Amino acid sequence: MKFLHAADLHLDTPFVGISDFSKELQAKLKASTYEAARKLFRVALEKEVDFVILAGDIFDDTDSSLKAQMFLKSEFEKLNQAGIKVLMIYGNHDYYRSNFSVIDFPDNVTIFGQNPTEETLITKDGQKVGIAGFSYYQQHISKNLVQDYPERNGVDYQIGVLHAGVGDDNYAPFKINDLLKKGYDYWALGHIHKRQILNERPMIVYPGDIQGRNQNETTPKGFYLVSVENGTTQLEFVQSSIYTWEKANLNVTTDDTVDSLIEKIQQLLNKPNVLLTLTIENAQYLDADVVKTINRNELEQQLQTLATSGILYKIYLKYNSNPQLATIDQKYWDEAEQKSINLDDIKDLDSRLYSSDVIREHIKQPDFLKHIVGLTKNTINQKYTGE
Amino acid sequence: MKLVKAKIYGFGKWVDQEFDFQQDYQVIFGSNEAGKTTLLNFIKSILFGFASARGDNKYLQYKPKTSSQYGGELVFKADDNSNWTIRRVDGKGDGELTLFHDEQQVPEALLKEIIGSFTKDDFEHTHVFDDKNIFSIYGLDENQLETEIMSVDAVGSKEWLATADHMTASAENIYKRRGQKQPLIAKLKERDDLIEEKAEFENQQVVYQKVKNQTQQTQIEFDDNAKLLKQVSEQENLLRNLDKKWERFEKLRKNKQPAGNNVQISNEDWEKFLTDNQELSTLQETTTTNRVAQLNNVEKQMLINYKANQKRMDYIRNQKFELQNLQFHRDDMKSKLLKVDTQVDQLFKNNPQLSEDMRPLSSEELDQINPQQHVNNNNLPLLICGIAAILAVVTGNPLKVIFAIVAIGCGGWYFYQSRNLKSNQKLTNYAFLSQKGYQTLNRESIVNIQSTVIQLANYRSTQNSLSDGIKAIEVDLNKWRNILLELNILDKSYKNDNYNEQIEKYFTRLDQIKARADLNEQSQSETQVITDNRNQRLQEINAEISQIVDKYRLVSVEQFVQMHTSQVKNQMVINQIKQDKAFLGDDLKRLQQYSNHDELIKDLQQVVTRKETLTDKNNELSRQIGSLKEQMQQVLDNTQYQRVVDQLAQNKVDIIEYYDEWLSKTLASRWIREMLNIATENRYPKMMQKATQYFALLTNNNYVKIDFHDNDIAVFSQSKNRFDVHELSQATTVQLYISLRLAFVTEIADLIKLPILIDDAFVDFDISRTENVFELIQKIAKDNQVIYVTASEPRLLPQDHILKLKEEA
Repeated sequence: MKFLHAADLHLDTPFVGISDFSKELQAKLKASTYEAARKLFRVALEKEVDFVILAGDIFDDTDSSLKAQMFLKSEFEKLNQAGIKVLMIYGNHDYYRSNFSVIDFPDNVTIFGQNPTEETLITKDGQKVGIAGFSYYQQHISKNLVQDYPERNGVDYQIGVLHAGVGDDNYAPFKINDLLKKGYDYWALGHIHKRQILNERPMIVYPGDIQGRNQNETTPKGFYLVSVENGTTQLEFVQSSIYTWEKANLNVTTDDTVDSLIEKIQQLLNKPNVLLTLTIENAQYLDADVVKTINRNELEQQLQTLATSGILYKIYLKYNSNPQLATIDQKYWDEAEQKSINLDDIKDLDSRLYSSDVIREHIKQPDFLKHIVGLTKNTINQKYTGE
Repeated sequence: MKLVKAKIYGFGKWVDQEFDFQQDYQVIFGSNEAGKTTLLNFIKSILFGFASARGDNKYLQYKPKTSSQYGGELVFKADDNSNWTIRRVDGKGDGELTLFHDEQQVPEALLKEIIGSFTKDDFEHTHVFDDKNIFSIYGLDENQLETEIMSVDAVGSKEWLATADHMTASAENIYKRRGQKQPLIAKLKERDDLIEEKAEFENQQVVYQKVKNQTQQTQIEFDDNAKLLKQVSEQENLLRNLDKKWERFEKLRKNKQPAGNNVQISNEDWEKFLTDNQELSTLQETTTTNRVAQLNNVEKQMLINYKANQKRMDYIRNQKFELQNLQFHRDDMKSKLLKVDTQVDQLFKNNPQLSEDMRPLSSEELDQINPQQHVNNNNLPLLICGIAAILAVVTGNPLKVIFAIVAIGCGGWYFYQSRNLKSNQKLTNYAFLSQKGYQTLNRESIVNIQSTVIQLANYRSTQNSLSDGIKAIEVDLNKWRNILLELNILDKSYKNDNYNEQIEKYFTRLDQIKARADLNEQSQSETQVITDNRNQRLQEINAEISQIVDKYRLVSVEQFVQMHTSQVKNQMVINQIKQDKAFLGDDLKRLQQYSNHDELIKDLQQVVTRKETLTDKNNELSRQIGSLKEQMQQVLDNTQYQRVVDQLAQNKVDIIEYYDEWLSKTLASRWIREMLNIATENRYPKMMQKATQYFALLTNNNYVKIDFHDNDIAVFSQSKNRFDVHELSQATTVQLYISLRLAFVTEIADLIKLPILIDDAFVDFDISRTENVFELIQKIAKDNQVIYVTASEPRLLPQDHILKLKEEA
């Protein structure tokens, strides 16, 4: 028995920070989620799998997903011709609404409803497989729905499809132990874009998204080809991402010039189809003119004119230390940080800004404070040297 | 540090002067121009340096006019009772400084022990109170105060504060609370716009579903309509077809089936009848041609006539040419006569003297009148005589006689002439002349005319003979005519005398008749047989015809033919009806539903109208489908929407980036200030506490709170009324300023121990206020030395604290 486990296709994802790229590259990036999906379905046909599981967030924007729906319809049709079934659920991004999903998918496609239900099928090697799952019908689900999944009943292999986060209150929170208790053979998870195997016996798997969508979604992305033989489940990762986001750090010294930086960065851009986010460490050592060149994007523009396999996405300057700071006792800084930087004060800082949903949401991010303290330190460090 | 002594070598109006100061407070009292301010400036100059001789500070130079020495000494007593002496004299820059600690000279750098990190400006700003400084309160703000107080403490605190300020400013370049144009604000606005724009797009799937349903609905409507249209079109075609056939139909309707005469002449009978009739007519025609060969009565009569007079007629036939000759002679003579007549006329014309009476003269007569003999060659009568004799020989009987006579006559005439020639000699003498008609002529003329007269006489003679000849022939011809008339050869009506021709004609015809009569005679018997056969056949045919006619019980052949004609006509009608019916086919029944053409046209018009309506609807629906398909295309093509989504995503990132930048800068500024605040042990709040106390004291507890709001100072009265600094009286404002300043100085007293210099700052105060000020000064002077110069003598102060300057030093 063979099947594919993919999730978070996020078709039609908008890409940001690409306006400086060539129109061609922009178009390719925008099409990359589709390209990755094509790869997914191509592999399904090539490997002659029994079925394909899509664990939610297939569309990025349900308000306008006709293109994606039509694309899927045609891809599903190919799978149908080959006798491959598709089992899919809707996630928090593409949660089901009325008027949604106006395109009729072919008969080989099963979309799970609002409550956990089970589908059974017989594989080519005669295995009876039970597949249970549910779709989001609202954006947030605070209830742990794992207990509502059906009990294992007379099947050779039991799969649970679930779009959720471990202990994530908004998205059907669950604990690994909840899943283990169910006695299923495979938990096909979706929602978390980072590929991870939470447990091996039984398998509890996040395949991650099939194409990195921003600078934080690093590493090659793809899906799992799952083979079950003699009760043993084996995972094979298949890359589908067309572009891979990567991060790199570059240590600089006072000797570095624009030219030396270009040379060093060029060397970092040696991998094809890699979108590199570069952090220049110890930027305080750089000459003020070099910093200006970087801040004016001139360095990136110069690099764009050079033939590099990889693509430079963005440069961040990190100011690591400040000799001036050393003259003031660290305890004052620490004490002052405690007093001056806290989430409540930040929220109260400006009501106009806090009324923006984007900013509110941003502030709610778990590592926001850490992130902003880092930025603030960088700002303080930069100020003392830069100006 | 307490200033205990000032030793002036030379400074402005002061030369070689010493002042001792109380360690808590010292009031220096003197009238105007007593040198009070100069003394305060001396203290500042020694501590921080002389004003340079250049620029605006020039007038602050106090180089003495009466002494060569510029400068002096200040002696401070430290907390440990050690003495610090600062000496500054004229020199490079701000003067030459010498520092002593307990009489020991120490490095200049140790001046910090006394003035800390203060500059002259700092000192003037914080420790010096004069009417110039006091009004700076209106520009005072919290940050400035905070910065001032913090800048007193901590290493590099000033730079840190500048950095913090810079970051605040920098943050405000990104976002400002009430700003309009800052990028973060712009991005937030852009987001609102984009969301609005996005909201304008209908939900793609809803629209898709709607358009799809509409399309389906419209398609159904279209199909239904098309079906109807097709039906109506067919109906229209049918009716148009009927319309086209109407004419034929009309004809058919009029062509009544002929009345039922059951007895039909069979084709066989008709054929037979026709054949018989043909034969009959042929036979009848043959009879007619035979009859043509028969002689008619006239011809028969001619034949009879001939047979009766055969001998005579044959003779006449043979004499045909005799007759012709006669005619010829007569005609010839006639023409000769005519010729002679002409000659006579010509003669008269040529000889006017000639007259009819004249007779030729005989030769004797001539000789008589003229001896000369002229042989008159008059041989004409001889010639005629000859010719006539010849003719008499050659011509036929009757004519022979005539010619013979002529010949004799001519001979006689010749003789006569020749005899008479001799007469006619003398004119008058000769009776013969008048006798012979020459009375009027002379002899010569008579002689000359003789030939002509002879000629005339000859002509006359010829004329006479010709006339006689013609007459004789005419008599002959008349005899012939009578014979011809008698024999019927000539018709009585014939008036001409061309008998030869008539005879010829007659006999030609007679010959033909004779021939025919012979032929008839010959075939008489054969013809009889044929005629008999024919008659028999005629009878047979007539019998057959009557039989056929009888068969159909008809009286006559005419009736039979009539019957057949009407039968053929009927057949044609029947055929026409048959054809019409075949042509109309199934339409006949439909056509029969209409009583007239108008009904049909009415129906057709209704159908046409219906078709037009349906066609219009068809077109409209077709347009709708087209438009819906286009809409569907637009629904599917969501590039516009995708662009907004992309922009929104980018905008979100931009907002977060700007926000992060703004926040990190704002926080950095806060962090630095907080750090400095901590490092400076919270001087600022302490200072504000003190200022509040002082202000309450100065205002007799009228005001109980000092507050900064948006960097504007406000105060609250005991009754909690809020007053903006601008709303306060000048005296109260000064009180507020002094409170803040004194609080500031006392707060940093542990760091900077310099005397507070007050230059007659309270001149406008009333007694109560002045007392309050002195109360405050006494209070703070316990920790901070105050040197107070004034032009008005203070009351209620111990005399040992008052230094009176002399009017003229």
